[in-house]
Amino acid sequence: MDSRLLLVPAVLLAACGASSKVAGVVPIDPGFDWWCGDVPCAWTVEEGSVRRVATWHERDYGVELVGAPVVLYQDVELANPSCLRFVLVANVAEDAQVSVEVDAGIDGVIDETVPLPSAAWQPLTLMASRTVAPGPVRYVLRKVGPGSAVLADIVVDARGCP
Amino acid sequence: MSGERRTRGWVGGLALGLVSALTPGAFGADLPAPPAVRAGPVRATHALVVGSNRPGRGQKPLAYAENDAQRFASLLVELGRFAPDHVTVLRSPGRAELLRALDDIGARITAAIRAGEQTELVFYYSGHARAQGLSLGLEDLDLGELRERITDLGATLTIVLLDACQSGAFSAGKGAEAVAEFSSNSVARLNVSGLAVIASSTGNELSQESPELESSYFTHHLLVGMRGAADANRDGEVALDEAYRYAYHATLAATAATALGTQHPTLEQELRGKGDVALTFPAAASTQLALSRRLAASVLLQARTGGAVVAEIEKVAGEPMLVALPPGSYVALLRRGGLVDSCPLVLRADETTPLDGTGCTRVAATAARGKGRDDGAADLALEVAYGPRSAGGDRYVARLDSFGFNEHGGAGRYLGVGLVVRVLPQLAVLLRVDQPDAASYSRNVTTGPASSGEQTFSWSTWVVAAHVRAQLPLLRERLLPYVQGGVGLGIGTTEFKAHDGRTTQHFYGFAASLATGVTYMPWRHLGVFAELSWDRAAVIHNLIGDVHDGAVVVGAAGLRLAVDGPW
Repeated sequence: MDSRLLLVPAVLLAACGASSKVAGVVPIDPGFDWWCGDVPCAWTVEEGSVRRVATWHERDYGVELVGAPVVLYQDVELANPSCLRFVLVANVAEDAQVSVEVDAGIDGVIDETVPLPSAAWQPLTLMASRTVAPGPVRYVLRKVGPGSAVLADIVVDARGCP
Repeated sequence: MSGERRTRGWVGGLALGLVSALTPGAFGADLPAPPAVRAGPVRATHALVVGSNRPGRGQKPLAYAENDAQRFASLLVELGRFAPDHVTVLRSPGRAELLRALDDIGARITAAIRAGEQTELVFYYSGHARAQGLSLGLEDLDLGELRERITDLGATLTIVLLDACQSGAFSAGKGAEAVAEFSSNSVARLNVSGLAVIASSTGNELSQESPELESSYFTHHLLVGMRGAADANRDGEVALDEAYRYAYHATLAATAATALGTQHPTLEQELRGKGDVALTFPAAASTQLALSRRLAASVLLQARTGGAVVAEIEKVAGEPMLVALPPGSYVALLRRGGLVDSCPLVLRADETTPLDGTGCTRVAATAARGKGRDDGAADLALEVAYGPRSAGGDRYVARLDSFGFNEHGGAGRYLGVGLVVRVLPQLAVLLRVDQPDAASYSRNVTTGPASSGEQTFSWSTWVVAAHVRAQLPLLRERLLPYVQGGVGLGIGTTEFKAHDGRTTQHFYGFAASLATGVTYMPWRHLGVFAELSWDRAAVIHNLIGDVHDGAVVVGAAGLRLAVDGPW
């Protein structure tokens, strides 16, 4: 836990530095390819534990949310009002109860919760229902069920609303 | 055949002369001295040479009858002193066309007779026949009528050569009907005063063609004999009975081991006068091959280009031999005991080239292929194929897309190398190593706080498989359409390459292939082929359980290098 906390400032700096250039697409490591031990360097583990696991290939990694509850997040900066679209590749058991949450403004209030259906590595596309105002946004991955859940990819497309 | 019964060569009208162009010193003491031969024709000689590959009802097409006729006609001009415009060649004529040609020749013979000249007629036919007549496609020409037409022409000497029988059950035969005595009948019907008839077989036998010789056995050996191999008395001329005797023995020996059985040429003649009936004058030819007196070997003479067998001669020691040949490059294979020597020869115009077995290279005994083998293809072949392929999508490939990979090259080409062993003319087995499938993908990934890098992932599948090929030899195996199927071992290799290293994995599994193609061999040892194949080697898989289907459709073209096998 100590080592993870040391990483948070660096990650946040990197995320904020890059976010303005990509207009809201998750800027840091959407494929969980940058690892600090068993923790994805671009994400902050707030609760529970995670570990690095192989996905389709022993050299292509995903993050397994171990046990429950597990909470990890990443902060980004949105440049424009955005309708968020999440594209994930994940292996999620039915009883894992995993969701993606949006904390617009990073004020500790979850503004949007998008539950993940069970999946077996097929791509999932999930839409948030609200428009998010420009400014800081925290994406939160939360697992509350006992089932297994491994995320291999998470892209947040925030290019605009239909 | 006694000398007394022989009619004077080409009946009388030959002016005697010494025109040998050969210099005795050129042969050496061991080689035959050039005989004196008579000069060119002052007689009226005419030839009607007919070749017909066309089958009649219930018969199969012949392969070499028309070519045999052309070779015979050419030899009459080259060595038989026939004026080119006195040799009429008909290819697959109808009945009316053949009779019209006879009438035309008859008119010229009549004119010659009125001018007081002696006349000779040679009638040669190679093609199908039935018991009662020649088969000219769907028409028949009755032998009795043919006899009347020929004898009515009134030539002083008429020589009829028939290389024909009725088509039998075998593809390479011109066989006679089992109940018919074709050859005997034909000889009996045509055997009249001043008429000599050589038939290619007796009535109960098949007259056979040889793909190896690209000729009928009979005509091939008749022509070899007429080129000088039959000149038993070494007088520089090949007489009718010499040619027959040579053709008889050579044809008998050549067909003894064939599936269709032994073939016995027949000769009947009713000739008056003295001297030989000279068919050809090889000693007067400007280009000759002189087989030395001491040479004792089975001599197989092949044209260097194309490998056609020009002559097969059983040369015995103590008897020199002259063979007249067109200028050109040849290879003589001398088989003595179990050893075979290959002797390159270049026969130049106006020269006599000696062959005594020196200056030759020892080769494997199999290089001299026995004539009993009725095919022209080599036993082993190396095939190299390259071409585009088309692969369908599968879950494995789709998964790469899901994980952010994009294909960027390496796909779309097939490479294969195969070793083909011909078991039968219609059957071959082959071992092939090929790469039916390969692809390369890449994606950008995060590698640090403000850095990214490229990851690449590639795979290739190699297959080592044994195939069975069914093939249909055409054009003496120069054209070889085929279908084949094979199974074997598929070997898949993947490589995952990232900024911090690479990981290589290997997979093994079952592979299968189906293909159809065609090989074209313009040369015996080199050709090309085109192939359309379906290959499948589903050996590569990922941790999720997706299996790469590995099925591709390939359109490939390649080179085929063929060699003779060690058997």
